Amino acid sequence: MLNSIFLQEILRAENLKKYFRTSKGLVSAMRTGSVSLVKAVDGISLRLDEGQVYVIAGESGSGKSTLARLLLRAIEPDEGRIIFKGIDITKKKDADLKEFRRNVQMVHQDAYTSLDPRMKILDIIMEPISIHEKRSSRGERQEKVYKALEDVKLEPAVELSSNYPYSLSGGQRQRVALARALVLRPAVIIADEPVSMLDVSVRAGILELMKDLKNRFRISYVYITHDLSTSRYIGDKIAIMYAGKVVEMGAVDTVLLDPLHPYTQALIDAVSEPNPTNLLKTRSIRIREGEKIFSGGCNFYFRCLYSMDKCKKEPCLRNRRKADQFESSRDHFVSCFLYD
Amino acid sequence: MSKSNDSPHPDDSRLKVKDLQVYYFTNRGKVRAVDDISFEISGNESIGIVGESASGKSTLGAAIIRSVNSPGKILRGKIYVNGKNVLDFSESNFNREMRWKKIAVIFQGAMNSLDPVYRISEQLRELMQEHKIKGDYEQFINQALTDVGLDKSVANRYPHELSGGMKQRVVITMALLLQPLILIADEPTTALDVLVQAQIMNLLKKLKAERNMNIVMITHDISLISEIADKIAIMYAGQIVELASSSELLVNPRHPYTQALIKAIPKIQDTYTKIESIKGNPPDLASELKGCRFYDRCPHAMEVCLQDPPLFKTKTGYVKCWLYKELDLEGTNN
Repeated sequence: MLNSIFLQEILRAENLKKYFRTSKGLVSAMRTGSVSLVKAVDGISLRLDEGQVYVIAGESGSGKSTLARLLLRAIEPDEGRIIFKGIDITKKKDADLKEFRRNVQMVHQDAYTSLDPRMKILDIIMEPISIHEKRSSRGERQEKVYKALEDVKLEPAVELSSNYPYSLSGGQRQRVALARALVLRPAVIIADEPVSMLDVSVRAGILELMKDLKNRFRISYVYITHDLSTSRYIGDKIAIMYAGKVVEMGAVDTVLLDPLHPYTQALIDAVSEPNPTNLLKTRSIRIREGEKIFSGGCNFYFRCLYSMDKCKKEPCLRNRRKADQFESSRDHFVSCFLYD
Repeated sequence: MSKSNDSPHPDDSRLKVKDLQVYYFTNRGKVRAVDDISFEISGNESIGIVGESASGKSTLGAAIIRSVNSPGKILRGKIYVNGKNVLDFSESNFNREMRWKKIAVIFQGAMNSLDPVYRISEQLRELMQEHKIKGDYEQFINQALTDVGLDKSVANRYPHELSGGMKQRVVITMALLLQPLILIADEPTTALDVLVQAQIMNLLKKLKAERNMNIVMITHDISLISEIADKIAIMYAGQIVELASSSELLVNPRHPYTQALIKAIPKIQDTYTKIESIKGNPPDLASELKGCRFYDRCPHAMEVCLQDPPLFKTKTGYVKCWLYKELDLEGTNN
């Protein structure tokens, strides 16, 4: 881990696990008393450095949003540790989490539901300051709100802040959500699909803004998404999740241009880009029909084109560094027996 | 690729929309959702209607199958399917002869509209009974499910037992059950995961080729549309601002809005090109609209743009932009 010498670690997850119990319908639960276990997050470790964008990519049900909630300490992990700036905060009580809460903020997917429609923009962005800086005067708070609105390029800040969310477009709302996350100058922003509900023409602006804020304020992001194209655009590192586990991780360029795990390869096969030759061919996606999860071994077993006998055992995430690779792509981890 | 585009009335015209106007009469005033739209597809061409939210694309799709809901109203225009204007039909005649039989539709989020208390076979059966189809229903159902890549056993299942991708295949089965000529697909893959989305697109491609069926696909996603559309129409603020064969439009986009839209898409293989957003917002369709509707956001806006641009003819379609006045091949055809 050469990189780690130069970059300051901000947030680290170690072997995080979160299982949910679900019953398969009332009748069968009563009859057999059985509950099934959904392994939403199943042993995930990652390390986020200062000023870095860490992409968590996966399909629905892969556990990526549960991971976000764990990292925020919005829900308690069953196992594992969360380390923030070198301090283990996994077991800390709410009262001792002030510093953490202030420093780790969240931006949600849907800015139509994440902003309270009855609050003015000013009050929405001021709320975090009122909680974390109780001694500040109203004037000081207002100044910070205006500054945050300028930082996210919502101007004129003063006039805008007296409006309600309904008067804003989708892109503007997401800027307000970013301003609210930003106003306390956090170290980390966890963004769960922040642009997936926006129109394409607006999306680029929000991604650019996030990049700009990262460079100006050394903010690190955990960027959660299903969209590999925006990942490449904004991300530094990426972890591909499947059924609660990371199947491949490394530098974004390495993973997306030289994908090793069959699941990552299938995901990339499925990406369309505007190209007239698409029309002439059937897109070939390296995947087969099958149950989504194989339990007890490689989760991807049923859908993988290359499954072998030994895939019935659980693979682990190993470094596949090749000798000839550049320094930036040294760490490339994949969890697949093809590379053993 | 697209043949006989230049002749005004090709014999194999399948769908022709002419000067269509659909407004919503709200208490804020009239919202010009579809404002003077014309296009035509023939042979087994498919068309992609691409636009962002509130561009009027879904209203256009609904109008073609006469499903515009109140307070929306089709004010004028003509919609020819195989040469017949569907707006001339009475409601009951349209239901009997056209709806589902000639034109079928997959609405956005349709997979959530399957009835949760009926088995898939019962829902398919109902559709055939309603349309007085004669024959062996079970055989029809088996064949229809196989055609979309589903197992026959799906017929006996309830919607909640199926995954999102399977439900969407069932919805496609329903739409195709009566062998329509035209399939309108409004964001058919939007709620699906990436892998499933690609599989559904492959399925639509296959069905299009096998059945000689015209697909009108409505979407915000210009990448996805390049998979299936022979022609692409770009909608902005209730109007088609550019129409061209997809090979022409994707390689050589003419309208400044189309150009900006393509520039805004990040690409996996290319991080060196900076993506750019389009500044500003589309106009309020309930307000008085004069001149080019993209004027406020256009990097090339000129004085002449304050007048409504006509449709300038291009090699495979038209562009609604004054920049192409010189290029106009046959004089304005507005």
